[in-house]
Amino acid sequence: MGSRGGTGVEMTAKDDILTVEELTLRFGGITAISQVSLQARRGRITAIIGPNGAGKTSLLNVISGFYRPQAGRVRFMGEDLLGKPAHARARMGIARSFQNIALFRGLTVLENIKLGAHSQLKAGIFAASAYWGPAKREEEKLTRWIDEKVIDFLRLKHVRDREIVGLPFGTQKQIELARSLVTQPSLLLLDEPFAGMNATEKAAMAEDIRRTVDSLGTTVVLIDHDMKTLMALAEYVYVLNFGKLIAQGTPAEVQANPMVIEAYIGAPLEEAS
Amino acid sequence: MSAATESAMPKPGPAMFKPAIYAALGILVIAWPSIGNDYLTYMATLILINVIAVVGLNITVGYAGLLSLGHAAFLGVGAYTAALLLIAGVPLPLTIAAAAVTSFCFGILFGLPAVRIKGVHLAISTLALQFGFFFVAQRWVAVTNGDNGLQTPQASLFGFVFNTDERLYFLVLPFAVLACVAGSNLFKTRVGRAFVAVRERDYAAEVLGVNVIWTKLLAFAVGAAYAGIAGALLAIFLRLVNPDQFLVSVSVFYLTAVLVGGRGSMLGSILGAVFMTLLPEMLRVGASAIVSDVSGYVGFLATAREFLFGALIVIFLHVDPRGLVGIIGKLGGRIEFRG
Repeated sequence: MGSRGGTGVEMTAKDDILTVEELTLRFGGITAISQVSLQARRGRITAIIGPNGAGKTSLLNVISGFYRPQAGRVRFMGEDLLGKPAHARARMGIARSFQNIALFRGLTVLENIKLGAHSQLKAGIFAASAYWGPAKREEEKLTRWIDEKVIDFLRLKHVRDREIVGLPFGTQKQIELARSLVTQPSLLLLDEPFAGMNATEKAAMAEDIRRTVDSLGTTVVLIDHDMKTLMALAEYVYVLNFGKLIAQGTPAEVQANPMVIEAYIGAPLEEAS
Repeated sequence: MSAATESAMPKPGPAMFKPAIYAALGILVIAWPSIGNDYLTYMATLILINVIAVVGLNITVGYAGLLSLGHAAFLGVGAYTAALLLIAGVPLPLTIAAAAVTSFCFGILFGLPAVRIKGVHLAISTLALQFGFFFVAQRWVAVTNGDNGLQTPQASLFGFVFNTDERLYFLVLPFAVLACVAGSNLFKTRVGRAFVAVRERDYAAEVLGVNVIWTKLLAFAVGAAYAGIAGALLAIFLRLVNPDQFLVSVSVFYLTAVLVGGRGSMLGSILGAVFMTLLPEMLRVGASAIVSDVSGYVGFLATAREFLFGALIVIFLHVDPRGLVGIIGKLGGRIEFRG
C-alpha cells in the first residue's frame, strides 16, 4: 500500500486529482462502502473493479453527489467535494457517464452533446427567449467548437442531427462520451463504458478513452466488469469486494493477487470476465 | 443510401417549402380580419389568446414534463391582475407586463411541489392551486367582486382605443407571434435543453451541471407567465373577468390542447389551440345539422364537449402520442418529432 509500483514516477499528493479517504456509505443496515481510500492520478486511467454489488457504482455516486457518505472525505483538486451539490460539481470539472446510457430523447445528437456545456453557457431566460446577441453568439460558437473538436474526434458526423431513439448502442455510448468531453472535464468518471458491447465496439471505446487521455490530458476513473479490456487500458487498478478495498496495484500485480482471484469466484480472471 | 451520402445531399421535402409556407401564413393572418366577418375575427382572436396559453402549458408539461392541472388558475391570476390595473387606470403595456410578472411569481410558488414530486402526484397538487384560486376569486368580494366579476374598461394605447373586433385582433396578434417565437427560441439554447433533460433523466441532467430544482421552478413559472399574458388579453378582449372563466375544466381544456396538438412541439401548440378552440363550434355546427333548433340542447352540448375532451386525450394517446404534429408528420411521409 502507499507507493504505486510500475509507473516509474514517485507519487506525490499534488499529482492526485481525486482523493477518497476512509469512505463509508451505509443504506440502513447495509454497508455499501466500508472505509475505502483511493486516489486518481492526474492524466492517468484508474480502474475500479470488483464483482457485482462490490460498491463500485455507489462509489461513483458519492463522487457525483447522489449519495452522502456517513464517514470519510472526498477531495477534488484539493477541494472538499462532499459539501457541494451534484450540479455544482460539473462546473468544478467533473463529468461522468452512466451504466445505462443516459441520453435525452426528444433532442438531437448535437443537442445532447451540447448539454455537456450547460454550466459553461450563460444565457438566461430572457436572452434565450430573444435569441439575440450574446445568447445567439455563445450557441453558434459552441456548435462550431463541437463540430470541429468533438464530432470528428468521435466519428459522429453521420448522426449529428439525428434523434437519439433508434441509434445503435455503441453509437449512443460514443455520444455519451462526446457529451462528457464537451464539459472539458479534469476528471471523467465512466460507469461500465464497455457494458453490453461486442468485441469491436469495446476495442473502439477503449481506443477513444485512450485518445481522450493522451490528447486532452483528462484524468479517467472507470469501473467495469470486463477485466480483459480494463487490464489493457488502466494504469492503476483498485479491487473492491463487498464494499471493501481488497487489492490495488498495476494491472499485472492485481491480476496475480490471490485475493482478487478468490473474489472472482475463485476462477481465473479471463473466464470470470 | 449510406449515412454519409445522406448528410451530404441537400434535404429535399417540406424543409425547402418552409419560407413559402411562413410567408403564406403571414399574409393570411394579417389579411384575416378583412377576409372574414366579425364572428371569424372574434374566433381568430380567441384562438390567438389560446395559442399563447397553450405554448405556455406546453413548456411546462410537454417540454419539462411537469404535469399541471392548474393552468387556468394562472390565466385567472393574469386576468384579475390586468382587470384591476386597467380599472385603476394603469397604462396597457404595464398592465400586461404586470400580469405576466404576477403569474410568474405564482408559478414559482406553486411550482415548489414539483421540486419533490412528479406525475400524477404533482397534477393533484396543482388541483389544489386550481380550487384555491376559485375560492379566493369567489370569496374575496372586496377585490374580485365575487361571482359578478370585474368589468374591464376599454383598453387603449396612446389614445388608440381597442373598441372593435378587428382592433382587438391586431392587439393580440403580436403577442401570439412573440409567444411562439420566444417559445421556440428557448429550445435553441441551454435553457430549453435543460427543460427536456430534466424531463427525460433528471439525475443525468444534474451531473451535467443543470440545477434541477431551479429548472423545474423556471419551467413552471415561464408556463405561468405565458398564461398570465393570455389571461390579461382575455380580460381585455371579453371585458369581463369572473371566477367561472377559470375552472378546472378550463385547465383540462388546455391540457387536452397540448396532448392533441403535440407535446414538446411549438407547431403542436398552435394546432392544439386551433383545434380545441374550434371544437365546441364544430360540435354546435354538427348538432345543428342533425336537429333544426340547437337551443334546446345547450346543456347536452356542454356535457358532450367535456366527454369529447376526455375521449380525445385517450384516442390521441393511443393513435399517436405526438398528437396532430405526429399524424401530420406521418401523412407527409416524414417523421418529425419536434415542430
